[in-house]
Amino acid sequence: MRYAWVRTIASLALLTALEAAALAAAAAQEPAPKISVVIVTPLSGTVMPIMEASKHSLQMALEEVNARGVVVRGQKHVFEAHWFDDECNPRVGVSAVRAALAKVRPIHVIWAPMCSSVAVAVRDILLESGHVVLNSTSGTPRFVGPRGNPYLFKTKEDADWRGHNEVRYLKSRGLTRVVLLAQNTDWGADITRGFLRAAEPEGLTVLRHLKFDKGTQEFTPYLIQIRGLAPDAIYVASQAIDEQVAFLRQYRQLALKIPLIGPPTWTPEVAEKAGWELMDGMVTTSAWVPTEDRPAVRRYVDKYRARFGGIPGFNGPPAYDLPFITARAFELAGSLDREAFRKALREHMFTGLVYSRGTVKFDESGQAQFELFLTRFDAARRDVVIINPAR
Amino acid sequence: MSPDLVIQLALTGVALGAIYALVAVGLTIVFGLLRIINFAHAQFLMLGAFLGLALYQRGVPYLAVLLVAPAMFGALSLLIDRGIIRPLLRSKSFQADTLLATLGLGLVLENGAQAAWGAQPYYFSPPPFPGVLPVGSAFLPTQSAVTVAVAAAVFATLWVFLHRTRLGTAVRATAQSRETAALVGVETERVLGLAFAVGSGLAALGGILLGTLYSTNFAMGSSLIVVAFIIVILGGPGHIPGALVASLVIGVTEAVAGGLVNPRFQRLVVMLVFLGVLMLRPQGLFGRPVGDAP
Repeated sequence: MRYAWVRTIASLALLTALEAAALAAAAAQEPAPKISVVIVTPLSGTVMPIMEASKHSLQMALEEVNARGVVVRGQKHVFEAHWFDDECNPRVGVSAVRAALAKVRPIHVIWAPMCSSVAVAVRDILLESGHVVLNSTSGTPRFVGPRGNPYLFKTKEDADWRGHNEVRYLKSRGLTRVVLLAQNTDWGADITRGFLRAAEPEGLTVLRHLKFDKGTQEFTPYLIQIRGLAPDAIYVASQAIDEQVAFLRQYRQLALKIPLIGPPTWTPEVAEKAGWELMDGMVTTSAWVPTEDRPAVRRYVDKYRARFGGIPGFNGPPAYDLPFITARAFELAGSLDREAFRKALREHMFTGLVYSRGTVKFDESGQAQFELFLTRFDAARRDVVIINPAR
Repeated sequence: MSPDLVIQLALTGVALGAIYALVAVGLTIVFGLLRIINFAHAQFLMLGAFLGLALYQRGVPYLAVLLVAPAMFGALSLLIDRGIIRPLLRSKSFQADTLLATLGLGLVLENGAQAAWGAQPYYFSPPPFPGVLPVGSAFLPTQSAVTVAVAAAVFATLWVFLHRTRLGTAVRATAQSRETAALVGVETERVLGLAFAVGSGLAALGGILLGTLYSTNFAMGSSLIVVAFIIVILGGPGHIPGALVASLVIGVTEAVAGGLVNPRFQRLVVMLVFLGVLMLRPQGLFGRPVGDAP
């Protein structure tokens, strides 16, 4: 009788162990549950020279995050990405967003590394959809505003912040008569608006505001006009590498010595293509420097260089951070629920990132808050030197 | 307005006009002989630039690149001529058919180039002719001077070929009347193939010079081709000297208008000049009115 009881217990224990093992084996074979991500971004078209780094960086980060998994309430999840091409064209962007909203079910989050013009065009559709959207590319303050917007988040700094830093720098050097030379696009308009807003209160005089068409390769007529105005500095708002290299070459050919300043779109990649000596002394404002001595930056730059060759362009780092911020927010939320996820994004600080000097904290309007650098290109060191923490 | 400023802008315009001329003359040769509008001409320019860049990066001297790459590309273009253009020429609606076919071909080539080389610009590095040449108190980048010299040499050679050789005479005869030329023993099929190859080679040469002056990328031809078509119409379709003069007019107008008026309006000024000429001479600067005997 006594042994029968022991046998029953032992049999039950054995059955339980076998069942647990079978369940574990089945669980190991089952794919991890998916977190469905819609990505609306340029994948083709003439904008790709400045957006390829964003696409590559997103792919890299997705693979890294999926390799370790997003652990929500003890269960490992992976991101399932659905890519939609907006071609950096507002009309195409609206169609792409509508298609994404109609085709993908469920949507847990939308990543929108998109041009400012598209971001502004699709903003209301995204807001109406009620999905949480993270944008890593647009500098326009019009994407997340007005204050109190609950679902849109932006990790790229506002163009206005840069304007303040640049104006303060110019004033501190006594360079008060400036010519603006900007790409005739929504992006160029946002950049120069930020600069102009900051310039007037600080007493800077904008001698002329010249605009050039996207893709311009011949800047000599502009430079000749600028030379005639004899400004203290030229603020150049261009984001296309071929425009930038052409501008620098023609600037040097005219033997101009007027100090140059510009947004963070002037990167070491431009210096490598044009020659470092052509960019020597140019000042920019930026939220990252490829040679910055932080583990996250070193790891990212090394991986990117090994896989794609070259230094990632300015849209790469903020895009790389998106999957990490999202993963961390889902983990902190402990749920895939939209409201819990949104709350986690709003309430927590995200660290260990590449862009934004490593840290992001969203304000109440969804704009990431962080510090910017003021940097200078140094041809002798073939490096971008941080002059001072600007903001 | 100082004379130095005008000279400086005119020099910039002449260099730009030289490239426009190479591209537009290639286009006008193909139109003049085959009577087709080659919408893939822009992509031929781009592929020629990539071919030239590949040779230069492999150590071929730049001046040799300027000879070899267009010749190679011209020979390669015969495959397109034989494979796509010729079969369509037999159709009654060959002009619409070839227009659509070359438009499609251009899209395939441009997207293929983007897939193969990515979207980033490439540069002839080290620059083949760095530095600047003083011209009075103005300057001319050495590369621009080389561009103008190469274009001048090409057009002089083309003139000698067309007016001083038997084959050149056959080409001109075919351009005037394919049927009559065939009746007097000209192998018009060969002449048409040669015209397509020369036109494509000129596009490739223009692409290499453009790529050296600025940058080489998959979309480099698209922005230029509209200007090239304007030049062809302005000069008179199929008229080579007309295309040359129109190229210089457009290049210099663009640069001078950009510097003296406002760079934003340089294309607008070009369009106004274009419209003005068409209102006075709808057949273009050198073209004959429709219905005139050649």
